[in-house]
Amino acid sequence: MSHEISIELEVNRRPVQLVVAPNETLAQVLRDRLSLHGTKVSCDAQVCGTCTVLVDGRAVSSCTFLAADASGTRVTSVEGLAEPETGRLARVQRAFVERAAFQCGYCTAGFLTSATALLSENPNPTRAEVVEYLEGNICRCTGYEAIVAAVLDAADADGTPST
Amino acid sequence: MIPDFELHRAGDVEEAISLLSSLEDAACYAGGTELLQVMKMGFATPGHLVDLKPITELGGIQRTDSGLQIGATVTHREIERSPLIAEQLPALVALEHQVANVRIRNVGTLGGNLCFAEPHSDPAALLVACNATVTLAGTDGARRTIPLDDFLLDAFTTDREETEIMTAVTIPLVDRRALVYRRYAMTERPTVSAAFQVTIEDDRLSSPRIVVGAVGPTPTVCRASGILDDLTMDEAREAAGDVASACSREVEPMDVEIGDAYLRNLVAVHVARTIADVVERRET
Amino acid sequence: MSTGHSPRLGVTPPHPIGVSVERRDAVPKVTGAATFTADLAVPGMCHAQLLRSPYAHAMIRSIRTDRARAMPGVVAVVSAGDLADVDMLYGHAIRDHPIMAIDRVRFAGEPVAAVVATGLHEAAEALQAIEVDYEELPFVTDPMEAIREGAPVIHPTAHEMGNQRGFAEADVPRHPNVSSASRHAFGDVAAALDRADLVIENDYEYPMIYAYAMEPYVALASWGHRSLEIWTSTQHPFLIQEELARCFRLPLSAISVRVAYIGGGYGTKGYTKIEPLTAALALRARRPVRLALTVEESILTARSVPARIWARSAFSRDGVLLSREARFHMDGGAYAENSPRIAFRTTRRFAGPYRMEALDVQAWSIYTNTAPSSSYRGLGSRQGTFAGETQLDEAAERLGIDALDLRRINLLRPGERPWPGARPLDADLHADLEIVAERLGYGSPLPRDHGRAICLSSADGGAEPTSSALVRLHADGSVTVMCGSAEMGQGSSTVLAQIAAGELGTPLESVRLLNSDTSTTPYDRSTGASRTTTVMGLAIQRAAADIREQLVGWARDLEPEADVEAEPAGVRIGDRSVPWHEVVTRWFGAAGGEVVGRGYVRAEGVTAESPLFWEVGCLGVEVSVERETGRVRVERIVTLGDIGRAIHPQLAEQQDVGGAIMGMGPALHEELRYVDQSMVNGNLWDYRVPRTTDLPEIDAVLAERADGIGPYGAKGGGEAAVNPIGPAIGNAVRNAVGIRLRRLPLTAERVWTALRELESHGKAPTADESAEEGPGRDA
Repeated sequence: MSHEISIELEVNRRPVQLVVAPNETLAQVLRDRLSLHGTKVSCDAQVCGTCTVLVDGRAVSSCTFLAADASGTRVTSVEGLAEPETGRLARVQRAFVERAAFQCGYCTAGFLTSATALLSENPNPTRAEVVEYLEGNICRCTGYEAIVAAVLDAADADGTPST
Repeated sequence: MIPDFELHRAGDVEEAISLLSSLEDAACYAGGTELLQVMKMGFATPGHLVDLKPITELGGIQRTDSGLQIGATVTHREIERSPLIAEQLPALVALEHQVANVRIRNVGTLGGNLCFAEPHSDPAALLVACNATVTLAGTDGARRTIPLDDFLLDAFTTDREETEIMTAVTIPLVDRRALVYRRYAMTERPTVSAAFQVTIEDDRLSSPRIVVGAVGPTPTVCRASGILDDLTMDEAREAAGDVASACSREVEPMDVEIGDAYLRNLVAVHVARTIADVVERRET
Repeated sequence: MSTGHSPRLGVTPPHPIGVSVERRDAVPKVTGAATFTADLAVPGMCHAQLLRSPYAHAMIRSIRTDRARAMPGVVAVVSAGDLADVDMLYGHAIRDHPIMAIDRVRFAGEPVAAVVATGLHEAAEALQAIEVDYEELPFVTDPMEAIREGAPVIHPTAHEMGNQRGFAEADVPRHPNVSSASRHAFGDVAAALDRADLVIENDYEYPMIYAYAMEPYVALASWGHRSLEIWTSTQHPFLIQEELARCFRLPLSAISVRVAYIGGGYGTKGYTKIEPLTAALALRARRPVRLALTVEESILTARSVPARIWARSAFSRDGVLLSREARFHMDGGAYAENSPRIAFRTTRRFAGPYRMEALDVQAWSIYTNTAPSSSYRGLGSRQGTFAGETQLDEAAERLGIDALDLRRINLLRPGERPWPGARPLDADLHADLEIVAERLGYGSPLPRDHGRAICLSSADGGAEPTSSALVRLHADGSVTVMCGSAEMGQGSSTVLAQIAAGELGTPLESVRLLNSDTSTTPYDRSTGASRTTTVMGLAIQRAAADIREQLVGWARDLEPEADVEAEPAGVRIGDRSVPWHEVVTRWFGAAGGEVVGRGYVRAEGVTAESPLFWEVGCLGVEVSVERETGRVRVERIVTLGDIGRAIHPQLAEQQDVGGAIMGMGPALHEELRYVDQSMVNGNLWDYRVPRTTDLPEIDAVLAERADGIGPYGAKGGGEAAVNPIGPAIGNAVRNAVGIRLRRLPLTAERVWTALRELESHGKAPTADESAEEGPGRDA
């Protein structure tokens, strides 16, 4: 019934051209069309933050974001946080490793992209600002303490945005 | 899963209205945070979606003769981070900061929020308190502007015709106005909210307007606000408890999950807090 | 830490035991490379969607699927009538659960039919075309109503027992809607009551909650020729393998249950869930099938077991606990699932770590027309601990004794048996209590409307000790460990690799761990009950010992005249140190080869006594109450993990942090509700789990006294914090503002309502709002 839509976008710094159905979500395109499985879907209702990806640097719930609306944008998923050439982990990823700021890992991608958005807007947040920003991300395993500590570790003391 | 639909992009207001008029079973959207959600849940199945995001006229935040004008497709996050609104209407910035979560704020729009008319909505209560108006564009170039209070008819029901789109929300700018907002959420959506606008001149209150949100199907403009009219700040501090109690008796709660006595208590507490914010000069 | 009573305390474990190494799943998880079940796809894979009953209790008169079958993309439409060649009932405790509803539905949300299609959308469309004719039956959703005379009988025909029951039923009269009855008693309660100076009894209630493992249930099934491979997010691959073998009438060897990373378990991914269903759909479709549930569907697949509790304790006037009694009515849902075992455990866990001369606890698991229940972290302990620890504080008030002092008087000492025949207590809770009290600042002044409390718990941990491990030492000295433990975030892959590395002297980077795959890893009963470090750890130690023994034998084969002895990472032949891999290659006489070590664990030797260890909890909180709104805020938590030996201290602490925050949920907010036939808040917009903004100051401490039977004196951990936190918050609220609530969650509304009553009547209410129908003492 529906007309398919041609979209052009950048995903993790790579150009992508696809034909998508209007009702395809960005999460579905990332996972099922581009085999980027790092982005997970949990509540599928914009509440839990598991599916968070960055669209032109803004954190969005990819489960409820039309792929068609991502045309012409730069999308960053968890696979796009590390340095593309060397695979060197971003500062926030290294902080999560060092603090073991995860357990089952299902919510981790969403926290990493959300933290990346936070730190690009606010490179040196206070603990209260980190807590508040991440209120919209659910984790069931960690109790959040290690995650908040990791994000603060990743924040740069002199205000330089972390990679 | 979002059910099937056809997607149309509208380049300008006329095209959007023309699409809404010609397509059967069409809905307009911008961020889609509300519409796509109810489509996923099976509560709405429009065959066509008309995307309003490309329409530049619907964006932008500016100061006009009528007041502060916020385009219908301006996102919650843009409002939250707007220097102009921070300067002119800081209570709205503070409110937007609390809406849902940052992802929904990045994508969801003020116009979408008001047109969806979810009773547990933050912006509606505050905007009704500050006498905001909404502008609607219809067929044949028609435009009309009505108070938001008249626009919101019932839960999920507005005065918007199927062939109209909201273009902007306008908030009159009033000298020496205090405007505060308090809300309390037990789950994802606010359980109760209170907004209080008042003019203060020479230590005296005038045009007090208290609105309670999230409790009834639409924001409740409380008649009891009138008690505060022409009181001094000290008198208002004394009267706050009575005003808050009176407001709590005016609401008609929809929620059956929360006890009536408790819900009314929350209303009273938060109304009292807004009054305290003003008289203690803590308004944000 | 106090001086221990274990001889192993002085022994230094080998490196890297006790080191918080980088978790081996860290980089995969932070880069998005870690594979979870829904990330897997196989060629030809189809997608399934389930049609669910809108009714809580109804006969199925007919199901018409012709229209659905004809729709585009549909590969198969399946209902029970299409599965005559399958043994339709499963259930490890009671075999009462049909793979799909057969002639009736027993809860709103029960799967009735399924569509398998080439795409999810096609499957969902075709679901709309299935027509089901229901004849509604009277239903019952309240467990107390379900055991009244005349209540609708939910399982009219008797069922076979499952093969994992593991306990004897209590011989007590029961209503047909009681799925099991357990009793645990010793001593003479009547005599104790007679002598007592204080007898205190009350009713308590623990809510129905959802664990919310963020990865919903998902499985991918593929049939070969009379063989099945199924990927599923499960903690119990071997138990599922047994069920599948029976349902599909195949030998165990024909069934492979394979497990990728698990996105959260907490017990709710234990035992059989959607595996037989997914396998049945793949069988009919003759194509591989992925069944991925939504979160809403997952809530309807498994929710926790709530409890209505009556409890009575008897004391002498100087605070000696004489006896405890309790009756638990536990709503197990439409199918028994694990609720019989939970009822059993409940009877063993209620008493707490206290000395008493008599005990009598009964628990009933009850059928209702609601979603089935499952295990959930702290099963059978969190419910009873709420009642027991609340009642202890109530008794302390009545006796005029400080709440901590009352505990000190009655707390078991290491070496005392909680009941005749039970393993002696292997934890020094007296010392633990002092540590928590000191860190919490117990007794120091608090601001107004703040309160503190410390609570304790003890649970018979470890489940059954059946386990095995294979360890392969390769020709270059590197090691592969094959063990059936499931990595669900608790860090088992890292900890078990550390144990193998320590035992064999192999660098940790050279140890590979393959886990939870019935086709390659040997039998392990389950991952749960905090057993993995202890039981699988022992299995790996034994496999390592088996390797050493074999290599010493091989070295003697090679040099019959020399003196041969094992040493770390090799053998000593005469006066030469020979690394193991050299023994291997010399023995084979070729460049390659390997030695395979086997470790078995069963109930004998150190694991003969039950329980394998006592999982004890000791947790203190400080709360503040906002009187105007009734909101309770947890300001501080101090929680102690008495785990014997922390193989990985950071991981052990984080388990307790996670458990404490998870336990805050039902204490303050979480409660699933039924109105009429349906669950009304089974989604995340209406069901609130803890968020970053709920996080208090939290101090997680470990006590390591090497007093467990596990490797280097380890015991299980991870479930302790979740048990005492509920009553700790309740008791702290009492201490803060004087109200006593005996029902969780302590929602703001309940707190406010109780405060108003206190203020208007001038005394603390002795019953909370739910007291209109107590369960009494008899079923």
